[in-house]
Amino acid sequence: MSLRSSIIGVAILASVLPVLVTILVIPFQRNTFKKAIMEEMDASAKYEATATAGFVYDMCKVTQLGMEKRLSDHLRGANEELARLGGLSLSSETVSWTARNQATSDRIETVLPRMCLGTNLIVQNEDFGVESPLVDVVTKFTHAYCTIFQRMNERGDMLRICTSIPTVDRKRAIGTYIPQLLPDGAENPVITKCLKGETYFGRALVMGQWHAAVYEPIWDSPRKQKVIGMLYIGFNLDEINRELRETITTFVLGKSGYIGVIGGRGEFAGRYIISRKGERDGDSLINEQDADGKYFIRDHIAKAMAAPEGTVLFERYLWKNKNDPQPRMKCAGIIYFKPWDWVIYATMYEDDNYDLIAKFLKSTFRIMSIGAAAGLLVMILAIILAVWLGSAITRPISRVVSIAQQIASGNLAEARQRVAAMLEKIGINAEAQLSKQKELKNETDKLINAIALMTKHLATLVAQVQRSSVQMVSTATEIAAASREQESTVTEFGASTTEIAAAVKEISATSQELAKTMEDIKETAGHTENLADKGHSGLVNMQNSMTQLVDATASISTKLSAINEKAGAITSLVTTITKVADETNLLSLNASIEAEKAGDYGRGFAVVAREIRRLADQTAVSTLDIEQTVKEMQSSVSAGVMEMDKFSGEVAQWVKSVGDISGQLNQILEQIKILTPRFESVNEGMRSQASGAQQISDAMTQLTEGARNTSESLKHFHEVTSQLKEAAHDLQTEVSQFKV
Amino acid sequence: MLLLLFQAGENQYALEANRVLQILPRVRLRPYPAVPEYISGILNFHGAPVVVVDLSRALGCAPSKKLMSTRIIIAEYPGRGGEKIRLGLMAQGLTAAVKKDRLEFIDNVLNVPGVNCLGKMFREGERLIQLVKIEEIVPAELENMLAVPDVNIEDSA
Repeated sequence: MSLRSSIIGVAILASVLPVLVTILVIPFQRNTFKKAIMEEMDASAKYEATATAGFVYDMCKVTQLGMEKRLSDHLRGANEELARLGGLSLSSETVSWTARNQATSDRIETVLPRMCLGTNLIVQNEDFGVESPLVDVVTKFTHAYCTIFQRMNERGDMLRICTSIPTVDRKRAIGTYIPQLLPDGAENPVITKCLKGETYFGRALVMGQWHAAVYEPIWDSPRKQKVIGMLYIGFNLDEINRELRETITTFVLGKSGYIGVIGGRGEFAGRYIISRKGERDGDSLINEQDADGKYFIRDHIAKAMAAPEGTVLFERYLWKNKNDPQPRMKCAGIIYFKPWDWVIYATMYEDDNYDLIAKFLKSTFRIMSIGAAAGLLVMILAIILAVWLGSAITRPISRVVSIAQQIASGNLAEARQRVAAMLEKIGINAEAQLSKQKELKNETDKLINAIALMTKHLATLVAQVQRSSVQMVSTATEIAAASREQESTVTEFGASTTEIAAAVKEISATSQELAKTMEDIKETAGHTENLADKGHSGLVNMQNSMTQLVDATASISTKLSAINEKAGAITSLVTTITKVADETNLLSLNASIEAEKAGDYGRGFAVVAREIRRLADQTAVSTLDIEQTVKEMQSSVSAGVMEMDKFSGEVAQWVKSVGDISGQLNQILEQIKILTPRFESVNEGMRSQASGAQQISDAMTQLTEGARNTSESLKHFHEVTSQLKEAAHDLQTEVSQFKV
Repeated sequence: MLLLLFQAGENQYALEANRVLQILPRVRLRPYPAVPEYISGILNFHGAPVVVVDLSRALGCAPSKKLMSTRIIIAEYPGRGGEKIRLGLMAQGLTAAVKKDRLEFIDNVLNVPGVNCLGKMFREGERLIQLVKIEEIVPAELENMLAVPDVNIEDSA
């Protein structure tokens, strides 16, 4: 590939690559972009769902708190009115009731004491046209319902005896009662609380409808010994929540999201309390399944009720609408409002916002396409420019190439002329400015200048080589002469080596003789060894005899020890006798004293005592003699034992000495034994020396041979020198081709 | 009168037998702390403790050797205050008793101040023997503590 096409190629590649990369990257970027936006949209959907659910929860809470405030105010008012009227109490008069269980509608006949308000008996009044005391006043001023309950039995069933609550057929709802036991067996929380003497605030089911209610216990007397009934004040929750319900049903999340309220417990569990636009109120959702077949409503209710109070849950589920061809992802913020048992749902489709993404992506793609087109235009312009510039750069270089070809063919003179012409063209004086490269800015001009310098230096070099080759021929001639001289020296060296060889042969003969002498010495050493061996065995015999002597001495010692022991036994006997004599002496002394004390009566006894003492003294003396003899014997035996020990020690010493001599002889023997192989090794050394001398002799012969070979090599070298001379001549001829 | 003969150092001495209750062999004594050197210890005599004085030491000689002939004399004598004093006396070489008449006694020639217990002397064969006064062996301040109630030993045993 020519330089020109390379330069143009690089320029085009540089302009085309960015445009291509941009076009390739656009689709990829678009996907990343889309993903990021969708994530953002999902996050905003989550926020919208949870925030809305939380907002509805807060509204419910505000309403609830307001209601409790109102109820406690009304209760205070009712109590004041009750006190003004004289309070409630039971009279001795009785009245019979047909009481209807408000939960099961079962009827029972019962007779109860009639209740008094102040001094007036409370009559059974069903007619709204006839005024009932207390309850009508409360309803008139507060717009809340009011009821007086009477306790029917010990269990605590509560009978409405006076009320402003209407039945379905617009009569006062007296004669109905709240059972203390609920159908499922649990206790009624309202009654349980009142029976304990406490006031109940909260939600209560009244005649099949939920009321926000307050129940207060009625006591039999100011001493508060027994609860005889309850006072009720309350609102219908549906009436109170009408505005709230309206707000909830008309709320729209995103494009098609809505808020729903579902019951949490009991018979209302999973039932719509407030539905979208109120269309499905009362429908049960408990068996609804999502597109995956899960009972998601049950799951969500359980989770919401288990969550800490005031926490909004966020759930996603796949839902297929009847009108949609595909299931779509829904998301929901869920929160449980405990006072009303409401599960609040704020739900919407996640893809409601996805249209926006599509629009956004379309416009970004258009912007990117316009960018790519602009890139193409720039690319074409870059190609045209590259072709023009490439030609401009390469033209002078082609000319320099042709000059270099001329130099290669050896025509240096013409090449220099052409270079000079080119230099003039770029405005440099050929002779004067050759070395001033620094002033040139253009690389092409620098190249031409460098070529000019090169041709100049090459011409000088060739001229010098021509001169040098002449000198080389003369040097080769000199080397040839020197090598001939060396040849004669080598011949002389050969003669000297022959003389050395003769001398070495003589050395060899002498060392052989020496080896023979060593053999004789070795034999003599063998004799000595035999003699020493005999001496050693004699000594061993002597040692054995000595050992026997030691044994005999030991046995004598043992016998002497036995005698010593026996003497010891005699001594102990003597000691016993002595002790007896001593005691006898003591006895006789004491006897003398007693006899002396007895005076004349003891005289005869004193004589006996003296005689005894004398006898004892004699015994003591005899035993002392025996003791003395035994001691002497013992000491002489001890001396004998000591002598024997000493003798035994001396014998042991002799045995040791003999052992030592024997050991020394043994050492001598050892050494002779060691010496013999040493003679052997010296002998071996001698023999090897002789053979070494032989080897030296052989080596000398080889050296002579070597000298002859060297002489031949020198002859060969001489020939090579002649060849070198010839080659120098050839070089001379070759160099002369260059015309300088 | 009957005299008991004993040795202290190189010399022989004698004690009057009428002061002696009994002679006992050299029994093991219970040492007593912080007492004068001449008191060897205490022994049990018929259930009553008796202080034993080493006569060799009391007479200024080396302690009595532990020999068979070294015996303990139980002596009883009226004290300086008239009370009954019981004392043990350890004597070396006590093996013989002699009878002497009062006329045979020679008066003591040398009265050394502080040594009160040495009394008269008499001759027995070649030897000159000196009497030891039992009631002077123990100094007055110690004597008080050695008193025993005046009860017959046979009765109390």
